[in-house]
This record gives sequence, C-alpha cells and structure tokens, in this order.
Amino acid sequence: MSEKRAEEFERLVRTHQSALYRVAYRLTGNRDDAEDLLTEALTEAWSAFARFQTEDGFVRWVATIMTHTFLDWKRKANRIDWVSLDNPTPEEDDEGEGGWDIADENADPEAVAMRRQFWRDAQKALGDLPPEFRAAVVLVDMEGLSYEEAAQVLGCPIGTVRSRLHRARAMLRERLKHWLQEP
Amino acid sequence: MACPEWSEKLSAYLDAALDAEQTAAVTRHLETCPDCRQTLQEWQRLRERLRALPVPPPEAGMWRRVMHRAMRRVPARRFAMPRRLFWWMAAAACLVGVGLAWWWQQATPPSSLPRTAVNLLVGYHADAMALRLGDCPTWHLVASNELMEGE
Repeated sequence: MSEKRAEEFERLVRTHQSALYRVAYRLTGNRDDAEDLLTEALTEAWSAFARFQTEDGFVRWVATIMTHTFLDWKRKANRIDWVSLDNPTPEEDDEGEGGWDIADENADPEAVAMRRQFWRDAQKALGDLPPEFRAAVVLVDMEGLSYEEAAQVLGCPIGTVRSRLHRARAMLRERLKHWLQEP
Repeated sequence: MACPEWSEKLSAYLDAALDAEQTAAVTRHLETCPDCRQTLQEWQRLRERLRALPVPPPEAGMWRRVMHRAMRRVPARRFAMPRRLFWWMAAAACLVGVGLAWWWQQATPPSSLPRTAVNLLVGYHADAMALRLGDCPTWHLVASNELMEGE
C-alpha cells in the first residue's frame, strides 16, 4: 500500500484513538487485553484499508472488527483474562487500573471509596456476563448505539440484540442491585 | 421484579425501541405496576452508571506498540513468540529428539532393530559408541559387520 495511504490510516487512528481504545477497554475489561484487541483489529483494518472508502464510518468499522475478534477469542478459547479481584484495584494500587480518575484529592474520601467499589463491582459483573451479552451492553448501554446499529456491528438480527440486552440487564441488575436503589 | 410478560418490552421501552402501539401499552402498564416501574428506574440508573464508568488511560507507549505491530502485521503480544525463544525451543526439541533416538537405539537389542529413519540417522553413531564401550559383545559383532558394510 502506498505511503500516502499509510499516512491516512495513521491519521484516522490518531483522530479516533480515544474512542477506539474506550471500546476495546469496555469489551475486554483490562488494559493488556484492550491493547491486544486493538492490535488485532487494526492489523485487520490496515490489511483491508484499500477497500475502505469513507472516513465517517472509521470508528464503527474498527469497532465491528474488534467486536468480532473479541467474540472469536471467547469462542475459540478463554483467552481473555477477565478483570478479577486479584487484579490491581484502586485500593491496592492507585497507579493501576481504577486508580486514575476516580481518585480526587479534594473529593470526600467516602464518596471516592464508593466510586471505586462500584467500579470494581461493575467490572466484575460485566466480566461475568456471556461475551455476546457483554458486547450488547457495551454497544448499546455504554456506547449509545441504537438496536439497528448494534445489530449491524454484531451481525445479528435486531430481535437478538433486544433479547441479549434484556437478559444482560436483568443479570446486571441482580448483581448490582444494592448500587441501583433509590438514593 | 418486573412482570415476566412485560420485562423484555420494558427493556426495549427504555431504549425507545418499541413502535407507538407497544410504547402506549407499556406506558399504560407502568401506571398500574409498581414493580415494573421500579425495574425501569433501576435499569435507567444502571445505564447511566455504566455509561459514566471511567476507563483508565492506556499504558505508556501503547499506541506506538499497537501501530508498529498493526502496520507490519505482527501478531498481538499474546500471540507473538519472541524470535530468540523460538530458536531456543527449536534447538531444544532437536536435542531431545536425537537424545531419545540414541537412547532407544541403545535400549533395543540390535537383532530386532527395524530399518527406520531413526536407525539410519543415529545407527552407526550408536554402533560406534558400543564398539568403544565394549559392553555388548553381540552388538559388537553386528556393529563391526555393519561398519564394514558401510565402508
């Protein structure tokens, strides 16, 4: 591929890198796996970049590759190490995952502790979802895609998205019930 | 707990993914069902909290590594075996293979030795060892003959 095309690819990735990383992190639940997922997806995207036409759909295009790669990993083998309580947590390691912007020196320590605990509980609950359910939650609840858009990314009917999302929400509600009560 | 027959519709209602008729039906049901109202509220809170869930910044140098690998089509770290490790493993596998073949050759009586690739590979070497060690008179004789034939 020409040097110009390579520069164009790098520019697109640079422009959208925070959105791409966010999707990768939300799918995998930890930084190491997010990096591997991005690497795999961008390798495939670069290989097919000659056929890519419009800049508008770059994030959606790479997110689709990432979602399929993620589900493929999970189907073939349990290669993804879900975030577990053994992983660094905000309380154990403020430099590690979770200690970045939850901590705020001026914030009420109790509120910070609560936010950290919710982050940890939510990561665990998301990690325990079946991968297809997690992907639906990431795309619709976290990334704000419509059912139609999520169905295109996942390559399944809209009814399947609706059903997976419903079941995922029921599971998450059960797991995180104490965080969702009326304040 | 939401009414089972309304639960999935309630989830789609939250996403404004129902048609007008279904939306009106759910709205009417919500007016009379506190359990479904509570479920809907909790799902709303769940969505808000998940959407606001912070994502840690990537590790230092992540984008440089990702782009370096992606543009050169190098597998992700989890799938990549360091080149040096690959050659060390290949060398170790060769040594183990030759060692096993030699051991098998030593342990098997010469008369029953099949003419295999392994036999051809290490046979004469093993015979020469036996000759030097002089610990197997029968083999000594066979090995001498084979050596002479080989010459």
